Amino acid sequence: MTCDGLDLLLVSDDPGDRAAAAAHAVRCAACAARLRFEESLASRAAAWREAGEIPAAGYEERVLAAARAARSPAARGRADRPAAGSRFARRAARRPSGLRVGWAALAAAAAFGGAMLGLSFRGPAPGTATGGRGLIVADALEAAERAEQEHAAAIAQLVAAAEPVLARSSDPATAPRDAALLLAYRDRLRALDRTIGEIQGHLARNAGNPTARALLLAAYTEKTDVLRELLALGAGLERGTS
Amino acid sequence: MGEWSDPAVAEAYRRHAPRLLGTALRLLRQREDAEDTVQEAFIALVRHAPAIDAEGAGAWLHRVVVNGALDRLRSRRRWRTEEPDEAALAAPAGTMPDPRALDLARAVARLPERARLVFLLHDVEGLLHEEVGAALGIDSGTSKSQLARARALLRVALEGRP
Repeated sequence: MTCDGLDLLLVSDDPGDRAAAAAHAVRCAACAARLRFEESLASRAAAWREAGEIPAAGYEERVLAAARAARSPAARGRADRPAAGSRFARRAARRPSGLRVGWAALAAAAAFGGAMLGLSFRGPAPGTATGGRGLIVADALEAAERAEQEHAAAIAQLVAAAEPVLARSSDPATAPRDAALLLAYRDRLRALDRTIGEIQGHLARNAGNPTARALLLAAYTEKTDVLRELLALGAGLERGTS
Repeated sequence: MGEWSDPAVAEAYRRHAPRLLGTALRLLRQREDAEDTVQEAFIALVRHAPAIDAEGAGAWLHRVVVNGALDRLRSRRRWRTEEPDEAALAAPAGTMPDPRALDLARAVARLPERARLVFLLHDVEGLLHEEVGAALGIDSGTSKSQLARARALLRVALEGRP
């Protein structure tokens, strides 16, 4: 072989070609330098591949909850099929426009963001309740946290059911208008997730703040509604009536 | 293995999630999309892969993440809805212990898009040219020529010579 053929050998998947390149490099200083670079590049690529990426806080819980919900056929069935006449079914009948979804997401984020700015000036600090009132507050907190956990678990099931619907945004068979609408829903859900994360962060520092508790519940409710709308849209796409 | 139990999924997550996230972030350069792609792979595992055992799960998940990331890239090109994170471009992998690998990541970020993808899929993710071609919708000859182009540009970037 000649030096001109080295490129072809070096990019080949055939181990025999690599061996031929190495045999040629023994007799050619320029190709030997080239081969050393290729070996160094392979070593760097392997180091990059093995390095991995540290998942964000809370990501493991999110993935495991979604996987758990995805495994439950009963949960999927409930999420996929809204009861006739339910608020979900009525919402499904009036198809949202992409513009409305986008502005609603912005409005929700702005409303929650503005509310969060005022949170630090309201609500008791942890441990300020005393005596019998302290016990009542503790009971109420426990009940609120339990309700929030149930809400979060239910939403995780809806999220799992909505994943295949959102995935249709990248399906070439999906009409451009529908794909754009699905992407708008995805953005809206992300905005709500950021809001929920901010409120949860505040509650981690000030668990007894009633305003933050109310905001978290409102955010969960909003997310549930958005997911229901999305599932209704997905059902419409399945039927080809969207 | 009949079904993926909660502990089995959690173990698979602990073993494979950092590397899968690395793969998704390398390809997508957008953290939220990368996280969504990996989450979808675990959902697919419990829904569609009861026959995959724990040992085979890593390779299976890796392939699903690569395909999912490429789907998202195609969608992005179609709608041009998202730009890569500037932070992801500046420091493509947060846990990289080897400074030589970090240099490579920065140089790869500056490659032309098709050469970047071919280099990542072939040299970093370990796909064969036929698989790269199928994934990107190009023939294997184009995959080889793009790989040669990518390596030549990387040599200039990393060693200062062609």
